Amino acid sequence: MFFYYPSLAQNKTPDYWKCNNKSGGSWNFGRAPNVCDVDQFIDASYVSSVYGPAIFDDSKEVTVERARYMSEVYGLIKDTARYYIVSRKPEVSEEEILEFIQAAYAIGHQESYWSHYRIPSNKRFQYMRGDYGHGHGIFQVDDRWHFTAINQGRGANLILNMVYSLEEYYDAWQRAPSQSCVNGERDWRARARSAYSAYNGGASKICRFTNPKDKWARNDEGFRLKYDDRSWERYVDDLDREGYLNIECAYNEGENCKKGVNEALPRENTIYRSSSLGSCVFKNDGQEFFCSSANEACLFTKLNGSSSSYSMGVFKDFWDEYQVQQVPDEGLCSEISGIYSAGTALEVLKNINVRKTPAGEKIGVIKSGSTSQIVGVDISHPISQDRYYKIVYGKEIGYIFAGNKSDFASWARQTQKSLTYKLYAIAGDYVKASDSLSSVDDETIDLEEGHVYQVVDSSVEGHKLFYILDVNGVEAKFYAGNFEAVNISDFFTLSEKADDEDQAPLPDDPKDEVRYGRLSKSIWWKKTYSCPATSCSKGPTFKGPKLTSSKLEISEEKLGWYKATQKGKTGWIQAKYVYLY
Amino acid sequence: MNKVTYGLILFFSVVGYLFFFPSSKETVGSLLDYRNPYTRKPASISDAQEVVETESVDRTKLQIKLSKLYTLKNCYTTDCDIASSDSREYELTIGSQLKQELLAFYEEVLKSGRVSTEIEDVALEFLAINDGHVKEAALLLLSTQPPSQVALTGIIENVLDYHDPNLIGLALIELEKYKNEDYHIQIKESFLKNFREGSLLVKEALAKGIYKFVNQDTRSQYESILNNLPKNSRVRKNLKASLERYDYRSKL
Repeated sequence: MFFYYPSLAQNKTPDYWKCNNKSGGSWNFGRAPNVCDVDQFIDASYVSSVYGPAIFDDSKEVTVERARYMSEVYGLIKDTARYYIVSRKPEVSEEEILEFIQAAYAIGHQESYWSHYRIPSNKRFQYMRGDYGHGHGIFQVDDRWHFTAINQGRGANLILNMVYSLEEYYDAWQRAPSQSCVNGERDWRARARSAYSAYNGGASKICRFTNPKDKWARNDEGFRLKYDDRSWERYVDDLDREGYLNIECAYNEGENCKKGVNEALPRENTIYRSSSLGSCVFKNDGQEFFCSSANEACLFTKLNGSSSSYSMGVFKDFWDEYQVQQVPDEGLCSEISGIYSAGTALEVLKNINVRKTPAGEKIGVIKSGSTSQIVGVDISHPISQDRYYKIVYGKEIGYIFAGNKSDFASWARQTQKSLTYKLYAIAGDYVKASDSLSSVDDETIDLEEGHVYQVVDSSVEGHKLFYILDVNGVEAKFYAGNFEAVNISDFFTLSEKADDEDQAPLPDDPKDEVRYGRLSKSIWWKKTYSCPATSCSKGPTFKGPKLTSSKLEISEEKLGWYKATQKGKTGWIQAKYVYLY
Repeated sequence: MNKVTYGLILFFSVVGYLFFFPSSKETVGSLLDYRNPYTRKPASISDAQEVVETESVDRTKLQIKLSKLYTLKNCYTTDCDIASSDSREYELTIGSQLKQELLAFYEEVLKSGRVSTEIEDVALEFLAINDGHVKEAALLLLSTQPPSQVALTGIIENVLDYHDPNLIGLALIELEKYKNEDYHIQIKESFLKNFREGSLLVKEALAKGIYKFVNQDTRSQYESILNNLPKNSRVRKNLKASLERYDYRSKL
């Protein structure tokens, strides 16, 4: 079984691709065959800490374990389907939410018997791989159609797996009521079946379930049986049960996403999560909350020092009677020992996996002794103070685990060594402006796109990078991008030399030298002139890089103008519009 | 599918990935703009008279091209001789073939510089098909034509309101050519709606690429959206960075 996600095209992945330590199973809830290691796609310790209750443990008595597992997963499917449809349709009726949830239960049953994480007899953290290993997890995201998503961990991460799949299902769910095979919005059963036909067969197959002769009618019949029978209910202890996770947190791959304590009054040593306030810690003495959206582990440590325990909870709406104080980001992590801030050069002291997110897709291994730049820090646990650094790795940015409060010194340290991996410049380096920019503190100082400047100093403020550059002898500060958005190279790229060192002296007769360039990136096209002045008659139009990859061949330069040729058409254009290669 | 097709498909996936995780501009060539995960750039003609001369459309050639496209499109509703060894292969194959035909059409129009409402109509018809491959090629074809109200509506309804984040980079490049005030308002309204109730994956991509559409009039509205987004969400982080980017650029 699989569905297809648009524009993530088919990849010819072999059967049981990246399926290490494959173990079997049984065709029953929670244990469908087969399972393979999660750590090929996401961090096993993350699975253990966030998804512990949703892991089927084969070492336990199977009937008891199945009942426990089903009850946990029941709550997670319910909460994820609710989270999804409310996100898409804020005014959705409770009736539609419940129907959508039932459809989600049935998809999970049809696709995988609600099987996802399992610890089989080999004691490894594994997850379900059906259909010769191509189908990943509870909703069976297929690695042939969703190769990129699978590599990003969207198959192995339980909540991401469901949300990713529901994107496709919801599209069909919305279209179904207008189809001839569904009698309006509230024809729930037909609507669910219709949406499944499209989900399983493609958008044009939205009424496939009405055709028993269709080659794939058995899939529709399988879904119908599950939808009608609701056999999962026989295993679940409490049908009103909610899941143990905060879905919003888990979807955004946060840490410590458990809902935790549910009490009427706030208490100390607890981190309360709020969509609008971030994470909050309550202090009894002032009867007030301290909140931050930067890092909750740092916040907790700052307010509670070396506490030996903590709990998680949800910030209740009616607690708005208490004072709430936002804690500034700056200095938030100052109580965490041995933590290095963004902008520091770091040397790793052992081979460490590099991941796209702290717990997500593995993109490589940084070798012991390598040096890199820190562009972000994440503390994942307020007691053990597990730390992840967001670093530059090759041409990517990724996270490395760098120990906890006891052993961080053996994982990485600050260094003055030359950098193995470098994304942004430090004092003395050169950068090339990717765009025309003005100084943040003096708007009259502009940079020219494509020109190279020397860096006098660089600084990191929160997630923002700034350079102080030498612009024709004047020092000026420039915004250089945001590390969270990973857009540094949109503003500057590292360069070897300054312009004047880069360019050979002009020949005596510039006519003899042919140079190449293009229009500046912001220019779509530009009219040329028959001679180097705007009073001359107009010539052909040159297209900019947004419209063509054809270069400008510059044969002559005069009074700030270039005589250039593009695709056989020649004209004069002002040099300020041209970027020279 | 043959090996070449598989290779191309894998290539598109990798390039699509680069859009969401751009590493350095130095890694992308002139064709592979970091905002554009596709092998082809949109033509993005915003004023036909400025760039090309309108030519009369070669009726015969156009009819042959359209005939191929509609024959394939009909396979969605009638049985064609296309493999179906799994439940999705049949529809995937139609989509791949349509994409090839549309891309060939796009290259041809790009080369000739033709501007015609018929081309726009074809592009819009195929943009409405619920297959990201087909939408991608149809969007490229549409980019060869000047901006129009009907084209803008098509892009909003069939790309921004769809759930394929890999199309957003391309769509945003195309929307840059919609420059008048009426268009700006519709684009802004579409973005705001998307942040409220769009696909979860699309709004992440949109938040990241929206900075070119932020201006003095709209900034406060995006700020208001930002303030209502869940703290620590990827959408919020991306939108915050886009607004920050506007703030620094607006000092120009």
